[in-house]
Amino acid sequence: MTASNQMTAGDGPAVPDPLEAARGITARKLLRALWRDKLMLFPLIFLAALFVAAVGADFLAPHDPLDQNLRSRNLPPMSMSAAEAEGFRYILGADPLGRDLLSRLIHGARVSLAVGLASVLASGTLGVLLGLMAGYHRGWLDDLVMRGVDVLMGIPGLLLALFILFLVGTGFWNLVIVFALTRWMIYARVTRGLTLSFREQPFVEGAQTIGCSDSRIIFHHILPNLASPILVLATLEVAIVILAEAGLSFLGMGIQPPAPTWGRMVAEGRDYITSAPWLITFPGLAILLTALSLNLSSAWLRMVSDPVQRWRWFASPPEPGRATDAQIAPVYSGSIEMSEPAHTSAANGHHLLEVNDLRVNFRTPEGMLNAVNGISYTLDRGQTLAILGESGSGKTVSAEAVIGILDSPPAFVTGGSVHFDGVDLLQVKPARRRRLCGERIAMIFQDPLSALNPAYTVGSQIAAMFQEHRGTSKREATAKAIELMDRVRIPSAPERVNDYPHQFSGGMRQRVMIASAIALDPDLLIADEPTTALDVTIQAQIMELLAELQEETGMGLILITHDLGVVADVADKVAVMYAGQIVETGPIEEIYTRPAHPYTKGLLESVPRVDEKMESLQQISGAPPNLRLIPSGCPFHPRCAYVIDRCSDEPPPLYEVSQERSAACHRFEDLLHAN
Amino acid sequence: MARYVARRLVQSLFVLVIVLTLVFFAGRVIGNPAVLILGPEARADDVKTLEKRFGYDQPPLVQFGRYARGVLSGDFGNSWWQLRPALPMALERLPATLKLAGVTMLFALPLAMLLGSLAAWRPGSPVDKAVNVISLTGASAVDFWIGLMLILLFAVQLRLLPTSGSGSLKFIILPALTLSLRPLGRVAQVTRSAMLDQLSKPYIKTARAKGFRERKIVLGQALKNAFIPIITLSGDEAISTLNGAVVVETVFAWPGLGLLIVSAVTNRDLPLIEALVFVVAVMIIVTNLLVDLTYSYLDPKVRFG
Repeated sequence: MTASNQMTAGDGPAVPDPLEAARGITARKLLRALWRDKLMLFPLIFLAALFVAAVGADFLAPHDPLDQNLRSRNLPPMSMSAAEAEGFRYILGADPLGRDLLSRLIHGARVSLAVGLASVLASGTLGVLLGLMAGYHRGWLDDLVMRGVDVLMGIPGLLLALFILFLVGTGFWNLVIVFALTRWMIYARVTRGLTLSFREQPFVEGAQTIGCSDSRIIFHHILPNLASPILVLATLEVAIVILAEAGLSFLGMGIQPPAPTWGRMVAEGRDYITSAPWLITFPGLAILLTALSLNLSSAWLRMVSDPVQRWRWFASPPEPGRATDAQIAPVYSGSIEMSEPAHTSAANGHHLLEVNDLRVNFRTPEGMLNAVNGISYTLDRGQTLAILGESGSGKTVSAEAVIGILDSPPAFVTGGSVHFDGVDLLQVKPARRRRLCGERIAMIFQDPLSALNPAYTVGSQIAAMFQEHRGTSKREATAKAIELMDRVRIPSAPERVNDYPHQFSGGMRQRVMIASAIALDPDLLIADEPTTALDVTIQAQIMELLAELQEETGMGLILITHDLGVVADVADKVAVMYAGQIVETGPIEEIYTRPAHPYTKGLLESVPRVDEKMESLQQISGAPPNLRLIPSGCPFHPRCAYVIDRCSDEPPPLYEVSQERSAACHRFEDLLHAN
Repeated sequence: MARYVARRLVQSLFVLVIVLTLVFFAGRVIGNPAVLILGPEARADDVKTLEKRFGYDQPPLVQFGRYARGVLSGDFGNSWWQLRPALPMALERLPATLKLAGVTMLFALPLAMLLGSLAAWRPGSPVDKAVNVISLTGASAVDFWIGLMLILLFAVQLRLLPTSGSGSLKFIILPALTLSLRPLGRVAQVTRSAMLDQLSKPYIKTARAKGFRERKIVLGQALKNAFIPIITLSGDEAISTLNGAVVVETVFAWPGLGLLIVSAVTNRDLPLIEALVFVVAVMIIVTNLLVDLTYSYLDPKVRFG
């Protein structure tokens, strides 16, 4: 899931065609899948057995459930009948009146299932009908039904049931009526919600236009689509009703004697809990297993009614997660076991940040994706690097890998190194990296509203940096937070320090983010599309602020963006990313004036510029590649205006264009001359 | 804030009036009180005599006027079973049930929130699987039977705890444990899904980028935002403990409202039931009000509009 969020919509995991999946399901496949998934097999077998027992109780029960034999009182399981003439075994023992417990259990199944199924049929019909009418006709009927649902759902159901039974008396049909009246609400709520959404859909609107009557639309077009969610719900409700019936029976308000019910069997065995514990054990177990089986079956039904999940369940062995975990364990995890490298020896300590051959893979149900495919760059103090690319090019993922906040799973760093001030961030212990990240490396994000915690005041979110990393007292930290808010020019900071993020404008929120990022004077600030979510005028202000702060503190700055215009004035260096690789890198003025890669050229031409007269804005034709199907050779060749035969076979290396520049294009020289 | 509370209180009062009216007419119109007392096999002239004695032969509206006057002064009439004022009887039992429900929720809620958070933090981990099992067990739990099995194990076999009754702290352990199974499972499940939702939000990335400890991120940052659905469900579960209390108090002879409700029903005691409905309705209203107040306290968007 997260994998597809990280990428663009175009390269999300392919969803198996539900129709195709549905066609492929046969009884044999079902049985085979069930056999694999024992957790689902047992409940279904148990329920089937229960059903058979309930229907055929008269033939299956070894003895008459009502036949008393005072000489066999409370006989333990497997003991022989006291009346030698009969000579049968009490397999599960005998009750206080000498009745055969097994036979009573089997007959009790009949009561439980009958009450459960009849009640669910009644409450389901009532609830679905009310929900259909409320959802389809809306208006006052909807108000009335939903108000009723709200009120009834707020009342403890068992108490309501007791009250109604008190008024009308017990008995099978009274129980069914009570459960119908106290359990219809959930069906009504679900049905109404679904009906409301179906109403807006083409198949219903179409039926309305061709003049179908309301009842025909409801019963022929909407009702069939409700079948599977209602079935899932009903299975769950059978469990609830059977449990409630058992409870009422236990309290003496269920089906009255002599008919055996599980709940009353427990109540009758209660007095003999020390001398004959089996009297309560077996009926209780029967209720528990029934409810458990129904709950599991409901979960199973829910799963197989979802096309995607059904496809997985039928296709793969159970618990696919575990199997795939083992198959594609991260090659490289920056694990704790590895020894920490010496501070300076391993790295060329003169760069603030040195990223070398960094690789990030996404584990998806369909296999591995190379999101970042071996990128390298360096950054010095006081320098600004702009990482440029379309969404899905891997620019954000690579930055998240640097600061160590990838969502793993599904993302894993699979190779390379990230040296920050001589320390390999991929190798250090998590605690150390955490300290480095808060204090010396900071990051700000695209959407400041969602990047701030809505439940805390902005002041406390800035102050938390001091409290967490420096152990500063709350009061002092708040004072520092106000200073910082002043520094990022949030007006009337002392008053606003106790405001919440939702009370700020977009630009001000981003200033809050910046304030907390620079709180501990970091050496490196990574800004991931810091202005994309903001108005154009605010964009310039934020960029100005970042540039100023950099001037004051001398920190290194990485600006991730898809918008070359935003960074043109502030960046020193540019790295252009495409399909997880850096395709061109170098000083910004040079690249700006003479791009050496057709992709960079395309990006430049798609940005309006004030310094040059332009005929029209160009677009790069085509779309960024699906990361699962990266083209052979140069990944850009299908979209490239300069493509030659060589491009589709031979991936271009990063050619050195000049001392500080490189470009991954076989024809970089032609491009340079063309400009 | 004060205006909001005042408005909710007026609404609640309105609901209470409707409930009490419905209960009255249900008792007088659906059932015949005299028959309810004497049982369905009663002789017709016995029923007549009783109707006359308690005034059940008068027109319903006259009876209702008398009932309403009584209710306004807190008088629900005498219990038919104990022959003393019904409302004090119900109120006497309130503290025991509140204590039981309180201990149950104090045990279940923090544990459920912790388990649910851990499950969401590492989906597929042993804790996640445990949460699944617990919520499944909670949903399938036969509370009266679990209670009896606990008695069998801890009171009868191990002799660690008393079988039933009330008194010292020891008495509350088994009933509270039995009662907490369902809220434990349900709240853990809801916490898990609310936390999964929160943990995928960008502000969690921010917190990680700031180098906060995971414990602080999960239990400090995310959980505070996940509180709304958790509190909603916890309110519902607190009310539902009354369902469980009926059964569990019967099993453990815990002298609370639940036990009294069962006695009132088995003794066909209409005034006592009316008083109990009143007490339960007030409890539900107060719980819902508390949940609403907690919302507005927790969600700054509600608090500051």
